[in-house]
Amino acid sequence: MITFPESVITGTVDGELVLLDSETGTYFGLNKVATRMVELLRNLGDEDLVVAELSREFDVPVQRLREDLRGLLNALGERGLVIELQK
Amino acid sequence: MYRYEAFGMEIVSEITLALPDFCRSGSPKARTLGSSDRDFFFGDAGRESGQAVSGRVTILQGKVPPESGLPYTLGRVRYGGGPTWMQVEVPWAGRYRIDFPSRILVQPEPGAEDRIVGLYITGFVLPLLLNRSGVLLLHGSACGDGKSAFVLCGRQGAGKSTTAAALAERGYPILCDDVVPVTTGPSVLPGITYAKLLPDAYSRMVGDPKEAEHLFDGVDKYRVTVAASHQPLPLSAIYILESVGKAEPSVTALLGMEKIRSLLPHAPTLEGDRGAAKSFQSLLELLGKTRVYRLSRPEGRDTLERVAELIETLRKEDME
Repeated sequence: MITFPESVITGTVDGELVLLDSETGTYFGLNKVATRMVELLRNLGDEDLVVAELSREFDVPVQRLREDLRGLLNALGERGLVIELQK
Repeated sequence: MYRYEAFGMEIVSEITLALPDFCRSGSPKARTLGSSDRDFFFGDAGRESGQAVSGRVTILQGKVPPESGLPYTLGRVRYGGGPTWMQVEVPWAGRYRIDFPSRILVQPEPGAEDRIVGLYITGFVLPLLLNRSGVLLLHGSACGDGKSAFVLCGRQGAGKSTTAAALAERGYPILCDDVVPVTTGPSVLPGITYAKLLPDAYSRMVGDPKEAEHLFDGVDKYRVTVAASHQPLPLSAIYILESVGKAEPSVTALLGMEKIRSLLPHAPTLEGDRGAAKSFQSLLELLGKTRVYRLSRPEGRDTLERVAELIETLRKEDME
């Protein structure tokens, strides 16, 4: 499960999620696949469920999806744009 | 007292400002009205478009003690404040105390010309007040056609005001120049409705700058009265003007992050500004609903008419 820090403002522009840290002015844009990943994480919470759903929607191997999802979470976490909540 | 109507507010001021005079209905024009304590919407057009333009701002002259602890600077301008107030100190113009949401007290510097004192009210202090109330401010010019508005953004010298003046002559009256207030909808509120032109643009479009009313704002610009619109209008598109070394003017439609990257530099926020988070949110909402184009034109060539034509063509295509 993920959440956004209070200082982070989000919005969808032309199907792409934009995360903007109002304290630092840092912003980060996600492509449509990454936007879908974050959307599913917010709705389903569990990474395994998200990967399962993504594998139904995209013709991509499960392992690759799992790595991409983890890579995205790490990148956003390092920039302070999302907080991963403990299960 | 002077009474003005701009930025979606009635502005009652002891200091003369370069803003449209207040008018209860229709387009503002020079007229004198008695004082009124009633709250009302500003302009019939505002009511028609559903824009509840609220409130009156009072600008008074009085003693504003210097604040020693103002933490922020912009050149030699110092500013800072708290949740309910803000103070701006301009050494060559005056000290400005804003008590949110509706009162501004001004102590002009001895010898400062009224128009310089007023310039910082319209260009700096009122935008701060608007920003705190959640209005997004874009740096650029806006024109409209009675049904919708469009905004011209770009770096200094990109030709925003000049293009806006040219479009005003083509039937797209100017809503605001320099500061473009965008409120929920998104809609553009009318603001400063004259164009400020650099000398070469003034010579080309109007005549001899020596005969013009010179407007000092740190840049050698000249004030030009053009056809103006005084009603809030829905925002339909933003054009970002760029000078590049291409042969002919060209247009690119921007999407997603490109919109953000291109527009963020034109949505300035001040360090320490408590309205910044709201502005970012408003900007994202705006970009989700508004077309944004990059309009590139060759450097050093007079392509004003061609650029104005391009914008006209794009607007017609977008309306179809």
